[in-house]
Amino acid sequence: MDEFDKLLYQGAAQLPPDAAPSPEPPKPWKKPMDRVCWGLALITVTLDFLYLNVILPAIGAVLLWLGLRALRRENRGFRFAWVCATLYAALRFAAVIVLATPLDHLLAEAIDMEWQSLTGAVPFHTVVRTGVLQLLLTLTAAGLWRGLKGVFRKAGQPPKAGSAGAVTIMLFLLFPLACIGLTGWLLVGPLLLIWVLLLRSLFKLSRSLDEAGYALSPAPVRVSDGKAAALWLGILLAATALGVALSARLPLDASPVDTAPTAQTELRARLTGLGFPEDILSDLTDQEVSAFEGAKAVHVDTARRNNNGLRDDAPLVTFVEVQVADYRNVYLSSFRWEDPPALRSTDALELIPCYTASDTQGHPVLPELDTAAPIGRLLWEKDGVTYAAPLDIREPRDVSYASFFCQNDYTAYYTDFSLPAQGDNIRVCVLWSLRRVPERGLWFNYAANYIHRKSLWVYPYQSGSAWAAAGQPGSPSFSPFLWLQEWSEGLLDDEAYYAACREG
Amino acid sequence: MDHSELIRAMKDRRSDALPRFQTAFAPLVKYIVAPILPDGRDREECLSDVFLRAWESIGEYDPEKGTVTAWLGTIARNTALNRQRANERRREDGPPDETPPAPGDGPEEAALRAEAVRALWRAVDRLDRRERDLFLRKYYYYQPTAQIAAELGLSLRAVEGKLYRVRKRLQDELGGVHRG
Repeated sequence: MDEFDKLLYQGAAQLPPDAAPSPEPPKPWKKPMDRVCWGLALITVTLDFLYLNVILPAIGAVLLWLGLRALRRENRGFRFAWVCATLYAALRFAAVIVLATPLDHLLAEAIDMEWQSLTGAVPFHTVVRTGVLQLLLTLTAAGLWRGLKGVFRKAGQPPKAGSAGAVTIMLFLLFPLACIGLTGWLLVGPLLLIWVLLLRSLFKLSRSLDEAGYALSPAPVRVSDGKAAALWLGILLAATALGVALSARLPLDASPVDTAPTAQTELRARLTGLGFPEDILSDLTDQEVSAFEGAKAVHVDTARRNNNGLRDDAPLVTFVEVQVADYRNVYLSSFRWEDPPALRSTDALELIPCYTASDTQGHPVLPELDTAAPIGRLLWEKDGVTYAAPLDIREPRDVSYASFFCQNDYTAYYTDFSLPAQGDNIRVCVLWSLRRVPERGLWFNYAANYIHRKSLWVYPYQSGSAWAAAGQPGSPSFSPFLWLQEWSEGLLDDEAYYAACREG
Repeated sequence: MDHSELIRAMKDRRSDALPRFQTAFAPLVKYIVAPILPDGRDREECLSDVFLRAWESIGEYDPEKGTVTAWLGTIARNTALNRQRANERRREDGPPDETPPAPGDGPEEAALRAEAVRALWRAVDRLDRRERDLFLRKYYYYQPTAQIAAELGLSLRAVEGKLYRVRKRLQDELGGVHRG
């Protein structure tokens, strides 16, 4: 202790002669209990915008952990609560990080079980994860309850920790209620009100501990609370960002295009003669060109989508419809990025071979069309060499969702692919064939929608194809994806169909 | 917690008031006395002294001027400090001395001392809330750095750093008074 220290002690020993109010004694319980209360409040807040449903509970988990870290030396109840809060925060953060990657979707596919709640099907592993988190939170509250009772007992006073007990019971009951899938303000409103009142009561209890100045045996810390909180949240942010970045691209099975002389010279010449675009034809392999064997007519439809903010950077879209036999057509969709997009991440295609179909009277008919599985390739140029990578087009799936205007039901094929990190003149080409059933419909249209990922930040992880299959949720301005919808009508069969009708 | 009814009972000299007052505030008094008096027996005796003084001077307590915890906290701190000083004198001189520390040698020095105290508290008032809290814990309530660190959730080094900055600020502001 130096001279100045002595002077400070001596000076502080006397209050000023003009009698300022006595300083309030320190309140050792205030900070930890405030953090515990705010932690519990934030964990249970669910605001589904601006990622607040992730950020607020994460901050709440850290506050709860920090509050109980200071109290853990006080008694066994608090120590137990602290251990549970640590596990809770770790599991909660792990869940946040996993949601940044495709792992959650892969897990759902691997388990392939769903829980039916009143609001719809929920992946089973999500229910288990929520259950474990809620159990840990309940145990944390139970430890807090026991710890608070211990404090009053130590002070020789009757336990007044009823609010902590009620919070424990409430947390215990919330999980089954969530599993049932309760919705609606009439049900949720009273529960929310009870929860707010319970937290208020817990805040009051902490105030009474403050005012009575109950002594606390706080645990010494090596890392200050601020640094510990920054560490928790920094790890969460860094790991989540890493997860998003690592999930932004798919492996690209690229190889140089074989430039050996074509064996389909005659067919290629015939297709060119019918009006098939030469640049697209030159991208097709002999095997792909063989799909057009017997070509009778070609219809070409070219468009450049310049809406949705892409303007001139949009890919040039070309639809080619080739009639190869009566009622059998081969369709080709080509998307050509003449200028590479600003972000080369993972894009997707949604192919809907028959979006709507109607009969001669205009009545809708079931879109039952025989179709072979689509095939396609991604091509680009780099250093004067053309590279290609096959598209992994998955099994068709039935899509059903309600939009503002109508109910949408159709069968679609999906593929996700990463654009090459380098190179230009990127194009995606996909073709499929249809065998129409004459009596089933006259008029139909089909769609090939391109989904471009325009933002590197996609959280939680979602592929472009999953986003499209879900009905392109979210505002176009805030969505990480750009939906380039292209559709065309099936045109080449009309004459044959009418002929069939006349004969019939 | 509303203590007004308890204070009224104390002021009315009701027989059950003091035990209730002791039950309610013993944790607070123990908390304040503990860093100043390391000896357990000293602390117990001091606890009795504090409640005796509180019983005797409850009439002076004015809720308008501050909370009961602040009023009682001051009594507890002063009682503990007096006991600590008495212990020190006893160790140095032999016979116990319960009288408060001697004031300055003369009116001039007393006036200077009072001015220095005023200057210190004015400087403390200019500290921000956290710095003021740190100052009070260290120099008013005599809390050891380890206790401050643990209660504030800071590492020892962080508290030492913050205390250093508080001292530096006070030293800069009080240089004329405390150096001269």
